[in-house]
Amino acid sequence: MTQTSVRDALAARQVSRREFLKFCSTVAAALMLPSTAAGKIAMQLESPKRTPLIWLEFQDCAGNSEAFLRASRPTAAEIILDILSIDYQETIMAAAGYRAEEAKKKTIDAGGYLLVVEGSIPTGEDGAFCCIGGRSAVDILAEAAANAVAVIAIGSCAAFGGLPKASPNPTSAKSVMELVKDKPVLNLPGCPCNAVNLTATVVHFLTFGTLPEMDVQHRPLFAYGARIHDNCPRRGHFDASEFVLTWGDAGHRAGWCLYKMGCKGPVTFHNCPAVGYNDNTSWPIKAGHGCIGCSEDNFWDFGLYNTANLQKFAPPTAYAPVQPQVETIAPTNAALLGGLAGLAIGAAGAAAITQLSKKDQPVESSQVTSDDLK
Amino acid sequence: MPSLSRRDFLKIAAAGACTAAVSSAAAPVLAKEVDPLEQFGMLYDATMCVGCNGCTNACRQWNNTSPEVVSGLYDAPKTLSVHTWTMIQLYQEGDTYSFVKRACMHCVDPACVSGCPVHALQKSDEGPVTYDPDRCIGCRYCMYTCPFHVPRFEWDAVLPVVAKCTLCVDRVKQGLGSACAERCPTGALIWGKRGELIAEAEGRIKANPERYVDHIYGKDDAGGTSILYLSSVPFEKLGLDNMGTEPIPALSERTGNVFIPSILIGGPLLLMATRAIAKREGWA
Amino acid sequence: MNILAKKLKLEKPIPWTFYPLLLLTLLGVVLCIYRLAVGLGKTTNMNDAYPWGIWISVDLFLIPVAGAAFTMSLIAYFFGRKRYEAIIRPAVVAGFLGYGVVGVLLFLDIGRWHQFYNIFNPQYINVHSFLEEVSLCITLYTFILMLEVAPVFLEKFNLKVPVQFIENSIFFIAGVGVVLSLLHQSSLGSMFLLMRYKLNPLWWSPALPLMFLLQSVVTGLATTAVAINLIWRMRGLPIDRDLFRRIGQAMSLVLALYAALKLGDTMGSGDMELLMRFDSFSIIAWLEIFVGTLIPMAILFSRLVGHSMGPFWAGIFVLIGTLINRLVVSWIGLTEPSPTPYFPSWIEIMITVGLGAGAFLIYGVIVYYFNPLPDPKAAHS
Repeated sequence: MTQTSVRDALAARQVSRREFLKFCSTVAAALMLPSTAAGKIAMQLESPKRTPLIWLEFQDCAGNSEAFLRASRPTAAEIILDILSIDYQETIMAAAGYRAEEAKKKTIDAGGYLLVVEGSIPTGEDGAFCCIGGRSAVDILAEAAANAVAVIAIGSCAAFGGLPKASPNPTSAKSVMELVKDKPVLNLPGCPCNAVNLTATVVHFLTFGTLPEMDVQHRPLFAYGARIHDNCPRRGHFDASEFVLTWGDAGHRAGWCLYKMGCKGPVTFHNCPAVGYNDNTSWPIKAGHGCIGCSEDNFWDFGLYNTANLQKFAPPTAYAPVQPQVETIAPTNAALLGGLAGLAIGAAGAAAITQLSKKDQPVESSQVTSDDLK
Repeated sequence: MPSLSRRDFLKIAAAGACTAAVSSAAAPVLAKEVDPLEQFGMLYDATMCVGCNGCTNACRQWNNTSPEVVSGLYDAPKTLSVHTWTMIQLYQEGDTYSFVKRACMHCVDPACVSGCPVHALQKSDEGPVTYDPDRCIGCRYCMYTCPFHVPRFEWDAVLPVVAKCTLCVDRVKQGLGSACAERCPTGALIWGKRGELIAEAEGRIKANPERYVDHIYGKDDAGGTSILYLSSVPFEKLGLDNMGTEPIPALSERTGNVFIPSILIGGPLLLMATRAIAKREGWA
Repeated sequence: MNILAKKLKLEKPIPWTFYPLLLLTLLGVVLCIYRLAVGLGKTTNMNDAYPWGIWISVDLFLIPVAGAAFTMSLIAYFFGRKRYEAIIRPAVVAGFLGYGVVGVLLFLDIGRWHQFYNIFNPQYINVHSFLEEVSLCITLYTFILMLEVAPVFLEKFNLKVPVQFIENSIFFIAGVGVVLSLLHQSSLGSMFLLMRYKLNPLWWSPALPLMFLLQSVVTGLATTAVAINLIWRMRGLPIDRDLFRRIGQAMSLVLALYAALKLGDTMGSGDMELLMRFDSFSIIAWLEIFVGTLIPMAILFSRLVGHSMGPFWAGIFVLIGTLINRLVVSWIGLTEPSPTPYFPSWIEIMITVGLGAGAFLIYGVIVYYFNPLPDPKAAHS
């Protein structure tokens, strides 16, 4: 918990300033901020203050920790690890046992820390299904959240309940936001979550002092504001109704849409097409398998190869409308034809009245009939 | 003035009788011998349609029709045309919306078939209503009479043709399904025997009564159509109006069967009678 | 102008009115060729929502107008009113020219005109199609009219034998003509029986064939009244008052029949409420009733029927009424799910005007240079 400036920490790690600024730009892009934000981020990250962070794991597989640690640019992760003072992280911390618990207690008492929670929290049997150091996860979470500045639920298990919550949910697993009601909770679902999104969220917090804008499910909009379907590179094939029908068929080899193979892209909000995984090496659809919807609530119950329900969302605004049968006279037609009719009838009427009201030709001079012509 | 000789009278009467016999014994235009329930048809469930226009694309690919530019937009047709034989339209009112597929309904007893002067449009035994450009004279009577406003014309050609969905009669003859139904990703559009599709539709309504309007459009409408519709909104909103259950041509054909023989036989008889009376009464 | 008349060895100078008519006709002919060469899309405004345009409307109007021929044939040959024989010829010529224009317009209108003969192919004929029936009848009837009109030309060139043959078999010819006319005039209405759900209910009725038939009789009489009045005045002949009056009376009778039928049909089908709505269609319907039926009946049931211009003006109003009716049935009363309206293009209008001018021109030539009234000597065999 030293108050070393980032500058010095960087120098100690032999990270050049150039690499540092590149990192700031990358994070700015991930946050969907304009490029000018990179400068602000750099400025904030260079300040000497280091934010403490507690990382709790409950019903988890440590996949999110691994994802973060396996970030292909360890330098970047290490930057964050240096800026943040990670005071408690079961997977990587050196301390164990009572020492570890002491460190955590000290940080909690001091307050002003970020709380990251990984894994769901079982509430069945009074919380007995997950106990660490003799205390239930429910209690540990409640205690840790009490003094936290903000809570980040990382991974689908923490965000929504994830795998433990999948039917029939034998441990009555719950998500963080179901249990923490009095602190701002940000969800970063994904199985595992995308390390880039975690990095960006943390940097946002460090730079602006607030959590990024969230949707109704507490997911940051910069990462979960659009569906996979909306940014999918195979969308053109969907629109042309070119679907893969079996693995390895011609369509599959041509990179066609995987909707019929169960892709949940249309109902999944995540930014995988944009940022990819493992430093954008690949992501499921790029690799040729449909999205399984891992950032959505209850995705384990979707059915891997059931087709997604495309009707969840409203139709596009500019769609060809049904044209109901109508019987109208176009105004121009009405005017023109009405005018012509009026003219004709008027003229005829006038002429008729004039001629018919006049006294008729005397009968005598036109007594000649056609018989006379014979 | 010479009166009508007996010879002439017999000639006229014979001609009249022959024509009358021919007209009333004329073979029905549609394949009435084939049970409509056995014919090929499609069931379109509007509640399952998501407006992806996969059917539109499949139809284009099978029939080689080209996408068109409408109101400056590429391949976004607003209605059927000579290049677009099927497409999806959207009905939306507030929060209620439904898609609807537009295409030829392939009526059991079509108005267009009854009206076409040269039998260019015919109801095939398999079910689809087919069009033969070699017979067509381009009079557009079919366009005029179709109650569903389906046939479209190739206005820009020097010798234009009429264009409409063929129900993939070339595929149907091979035992394959229609291109659009084969492509539909959600299963909103399925093909099969008309009778079986009606049974399927009835089953769906029974199983989910709150999901559907309790009516299968096309079962009896306008005498029945081969394309059946299920919907969650009233059918009039989707452009499928109430047209009763009598086939459209029924009145027209009944009238013809009465009027034409009457005039052909009665006409000459009346004329001769009037002439005879006129002579007798001295009007001549 | 007299130079031209002298060059053509005509007995009378060419009236100045013929020249603009000729110009219009030539323009029309040129546009006809253009339309056949480039197709309907470039020359007309017809579209998928309105597949039929004013050519069909004009055809629907001209056919009852040309019904003057069969109406006068019926009266003259079968009701034995020999006195009407005097005006048979003008009526028949008017009919022949009318059907001529109809034929040309129809040929121009069909898209695949290179296959037009398919309608005569017995293997293709659809006996249920009223359009087919109308086409066949009109074709046959035009031939009949040609026979009936022929004497006008044959007499001029002194070909007495053919004239005699025609005169002798006139009952057969005229009889066939009447039957064919009854058929196609009513079938013209039957054509619209398929339009129950596409035509405004104020104009659609299962009784359309009968209505069209009665309309054609009335319109034929109206055409006759107007035409003979014009001829008498053009040639400076005295007006046969009695004849004229009787035509007017016949018109009034059939008009009354038609009005009764229309009223009964409207009431019976529950459309009176639509008529009383006074929206745009109801107003058009009322206009048609007034102009086409009530005003002529008012003239013809009063003492004005004996006026030298009475039946003429009644005829004019009847013609306007029929025109309105046919325009509505083929164009304005159509229900379409499309915002694309239709208004005829200038080419459509010019071709119609040109062909009409041509018909008038030929009619004028016949009236002026040929004897539109029968030679008293040749009438008696």
